[in-house]
Amino acid sequence: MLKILKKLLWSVLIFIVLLVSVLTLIWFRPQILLNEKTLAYFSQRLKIAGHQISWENLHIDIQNVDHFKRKIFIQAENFCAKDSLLNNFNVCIPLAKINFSIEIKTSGISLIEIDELSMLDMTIFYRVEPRRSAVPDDQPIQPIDTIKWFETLSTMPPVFNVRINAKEFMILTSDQMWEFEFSLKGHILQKEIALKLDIDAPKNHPQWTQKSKVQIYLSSQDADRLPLHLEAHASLISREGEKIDLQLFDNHHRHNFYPIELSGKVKVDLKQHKIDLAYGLDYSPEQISALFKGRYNGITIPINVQFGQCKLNLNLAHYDKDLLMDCPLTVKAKKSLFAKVPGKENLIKSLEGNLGVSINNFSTEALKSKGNIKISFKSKKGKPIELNTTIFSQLPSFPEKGLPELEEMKPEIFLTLKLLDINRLFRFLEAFESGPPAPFHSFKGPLTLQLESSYNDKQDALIIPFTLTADLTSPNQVLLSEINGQVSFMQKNAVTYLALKMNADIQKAKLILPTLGHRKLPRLFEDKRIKKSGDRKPTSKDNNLILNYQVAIKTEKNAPLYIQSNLAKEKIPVHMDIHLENEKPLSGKIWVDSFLINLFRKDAKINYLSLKSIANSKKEIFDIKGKLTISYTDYIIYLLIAGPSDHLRLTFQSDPPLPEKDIISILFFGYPIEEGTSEEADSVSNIQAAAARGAIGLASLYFFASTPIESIRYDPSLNRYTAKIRVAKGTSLTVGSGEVEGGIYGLRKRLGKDFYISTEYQEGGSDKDSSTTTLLEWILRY
Amino acid sequence: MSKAVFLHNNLSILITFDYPCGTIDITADPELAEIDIKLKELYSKNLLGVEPLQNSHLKPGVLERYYAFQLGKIYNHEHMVITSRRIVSSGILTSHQFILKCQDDGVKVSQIYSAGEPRLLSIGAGANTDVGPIFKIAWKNLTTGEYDSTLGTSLFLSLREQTLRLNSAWYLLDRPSRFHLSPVLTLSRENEDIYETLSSELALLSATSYDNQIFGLWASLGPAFKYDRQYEGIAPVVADYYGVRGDIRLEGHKFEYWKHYPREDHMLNANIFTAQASRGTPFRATILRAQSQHLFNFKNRVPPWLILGIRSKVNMTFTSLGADQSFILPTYFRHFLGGLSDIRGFSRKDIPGDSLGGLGTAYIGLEAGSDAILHEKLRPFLFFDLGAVGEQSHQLDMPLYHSPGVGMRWESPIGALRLNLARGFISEGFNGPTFVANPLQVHVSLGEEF
Repeated sequence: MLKILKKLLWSVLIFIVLLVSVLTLIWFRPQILLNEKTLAYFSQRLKIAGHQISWENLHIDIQNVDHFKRKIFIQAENFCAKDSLLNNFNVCIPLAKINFSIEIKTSGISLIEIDELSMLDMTIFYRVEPRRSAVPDDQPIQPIDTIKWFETLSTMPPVFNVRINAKEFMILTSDQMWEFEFSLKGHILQKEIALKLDIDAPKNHPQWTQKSKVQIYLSSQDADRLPLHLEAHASLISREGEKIDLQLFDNHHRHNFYPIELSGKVKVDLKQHKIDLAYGLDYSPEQISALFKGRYNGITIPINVQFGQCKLNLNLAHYDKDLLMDCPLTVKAKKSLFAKVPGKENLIKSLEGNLGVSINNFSTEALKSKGNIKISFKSKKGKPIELNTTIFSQLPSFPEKGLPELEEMKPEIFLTLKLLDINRLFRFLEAFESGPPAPFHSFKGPLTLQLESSYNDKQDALIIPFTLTADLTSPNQVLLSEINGQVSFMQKNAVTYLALKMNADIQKAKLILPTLGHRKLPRLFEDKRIKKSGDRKPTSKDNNLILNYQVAIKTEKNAPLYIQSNLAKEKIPVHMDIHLENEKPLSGKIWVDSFLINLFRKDAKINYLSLKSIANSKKEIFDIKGKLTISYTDYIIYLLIAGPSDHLRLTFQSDPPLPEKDIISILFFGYPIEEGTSEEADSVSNIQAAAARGAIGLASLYFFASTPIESIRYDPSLNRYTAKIRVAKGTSLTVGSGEVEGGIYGLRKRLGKDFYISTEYQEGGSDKDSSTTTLLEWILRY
Repeated sequence: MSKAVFLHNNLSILITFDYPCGTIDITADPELAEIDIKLKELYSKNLLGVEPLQNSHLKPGVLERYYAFQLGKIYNHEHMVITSRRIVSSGILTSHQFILKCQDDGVKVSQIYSAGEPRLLSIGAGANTDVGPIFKIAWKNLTTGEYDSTLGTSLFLSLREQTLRLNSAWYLLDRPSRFHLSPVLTLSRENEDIYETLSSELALLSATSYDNQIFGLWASLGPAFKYDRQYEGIAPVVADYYGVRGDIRLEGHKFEYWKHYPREDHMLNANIFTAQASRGTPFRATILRAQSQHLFNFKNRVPPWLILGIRSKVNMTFTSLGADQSFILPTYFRHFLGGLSDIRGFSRKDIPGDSLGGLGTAYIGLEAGSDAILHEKLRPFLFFDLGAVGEQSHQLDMPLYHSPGVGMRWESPIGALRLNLARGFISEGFNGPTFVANPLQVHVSLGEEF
């Protein structure tokens, strides 16, 4: 047993001695292992594995510097390596040299320095394999951790003399060919290092034109290894003509690697938006601080935004990386905005503001930071528009699509907006052909809006109560009103809900209507035949925003709204209590007090007239009640109006009582029916029928009552009328909804009093042919 | 918007004609450029009843004689318009319209009207190229008797013809009825190029009418006595004869509706008078006149894209006299062609070219016009008239008279103005020689359709 143990011990000892002897021999005579034959052998082994390496005139020289350090020099001509299986990679170097030193340490053999690395006029081809499903598409790509990258760079062995350049460097992706040109040269002893990289956009890039390029120049002239001088310039021109220009410099002279101080300029020209920024950025592992200033120039939005000395500080030392940004802003309206406005100083020209961002847990990963944003603006006092607003919001996470959630933002808004003279706003709007309608356009005076919002956690909604006060006047007009309301903004399941509740109390109002023609009054209500987009049932596309509004307009009890119009002899005292609600017809009541008006060529008195919405009606229909009194020498005629607005019933009464036909004849023609012509009697019948069937609405009645009527024809089958009105002596004009072709044609046409064109069908009888004959006739009935 | 309003107005008219309770709701969205049309109750309804006139001097049921519809049958807007038109034309009311009342089981109509004074005096004037200036004086008493019989007289004066006429429609039954007696006394003078006559007629006709949903029919029958005096032309100087006269007229409702703007449906008019001489030269003769019109609106386009018209006329006199004795017959029994009413390439009564005329004539005319080429109210048309005259009533002789032509019809504010330009040809049979008899015949008429 002992004998066997001894033999074994000797065997191990001999093996160790032999191994040490071999290693010692290899260490002192590395040529034994590192020579052209062994390298050719390994090359053959790699070829089997699919990697082909070839060279010519290989020269290897190894020097023993001391017992533990070796200096190795390798030179090869026409060195090529390629991936012979997939042809994804191919590099060829006409002359490659490397001179490096290695050292035995307790931890093993390590590369201690590279004296020379020279690879000149390389050609490189690399095909990027399409991404396989190793990383699911929906997972975000992890950003490169720049801090680690710099740390790794700093632990690399020194390279004393390096000269690398590639005359052809091509990277082929699945659809594009990228071409690079780069050169790297450096000599530590001569204290210089330079890396130059030019990247041109590929010919068929879908977004960028071929003029786009990126140039990076990295050099150092005053350091053993670092710091570096970095110059980068990127110029990107999109196919739509948008330009991005980026410059980056590291120009400082220091001995420590940190802090890295960068500066540069960013110029973005997106045609409609132009941004010009100059920045300075200090980077150290503890913090990043930046200063930037510049301006935004809007084309479609005619404003300029001036960024003052904006400060940004990101503290990286703590576990919770804090970010603070403070940016003074000046927003100026561009001159082009005022180009059309007389005086050009009508409105607010500039706003001083501040954008503040505070993040207490900053992360570069998908911007999932926590913090808050504060934006405030203020205009100078005494300007036509005084604005003071502050918006405070918590920093939300930004989803890939859509807007951030309201619940995360919890915004608060404080705003005071005062227009010292609303007429200046009207003048401004009129220059853009969007001024208010008459008679509001002539109003002057202040309009004040105040709102203070808060986020309601229970309702998960932003509640914005507001007050709008109008104190407007113009010669002979007044509008004093206070509008209180509330806007609620809510988001649920990607749907935005916007609700407006508003109560307008008209405290005092006197309006003068524009001159209205008798023959065509403006419509009181919108033509229901014309739909607006808001009337459409929401489609799934529209469902992202649901708007609800409730508006109430009310006059005070003893302060009616006075309307002055050429249609009435007195101011019309109007009371209203109306409600507007989306998807519901106008509801409420509008009524007028007694006033005088000229109707039927007489002074008439509107005793009362009221329009009251019909409850639960799907249409905008009003129940109308009214009474008019027209006084004649011998009679007083009462016209009673009742019924729904689309089917108004007119009742004619008189004192002393007269037959209805006589009343109508007196009203329309000025004398009883027996004194009129047959056509006038015919018209009276038509009016009677139309009134009974509710074909005469309020506007039609006013038109009839204020126009010299020659005749009225009513077509009961279509429930429409045609009226012939006297325009001037001897001429007349037919208005109305038209006649039915053929329906009334050809019988008898009136030319004047008792004169007609008659087309008669004559019976032939047994001795003549039947025929029609047209005659000019004078007809008398007696 | 204007398209929506246009559609609303015109579709309203369209549906009112056939669907009395139909409604149309048109909305337009200018942003989407969409017009939404909703039609409701698009089905026919029966006419259940007509409410009597309110506060009228007319006896209930009097107006029924003018009804172009039948109660209980499907309501049709055109029939109501025709009825109102007949009422106003008669003069019994100065205006009349029906008002529709929709019910679940049908429709009822009420009436609005205006009644003028009972007596009507009218004086009129007109003109056309055939007869020159026209004057007319008429008087009418419209509400005579219990059931509004009428009594009237009229004097018609033109260069070619002067007529004095006394007539009455005497509703003699003790209930409202279409049946009436129609005594007529006519005194007329005709002054044509080829003859001149003075004639008088006294007739006592019993007349009635009938309407269903498709056509209206008027018929009269009764004894008549005529006295003729011939001043020029080949005919007995004096002739008086008596006999029985019958008239029948059948007219489609659509023809009547569009009578003043001809475009569709059919009309047939026939008269017969069988007479025997009471003194002078003895003769017995029966005269039959029939004329028809058939109009077709191709594809029922509005305005009509192509209107085809076929018009025919047959006049025959059957007599016991031989052909060589036809000159014994009064001019009344002889027939001529030419002029506005038939072959338009010839002047009035220019065919056969002598004063004897023929005992038989036949005419057919084809006309094609369009209201869609120039203007809705301006109708260019082409026509071809063909006719022949027979010495005997039962046969037509050569030559054939034919005339192609063109014309223009203008729907003027004072009536239809027609201009016809035609050439008159005479040919011996369809394959025989043809020569121009009249290079250009111009006809201008106001109000006359055909």
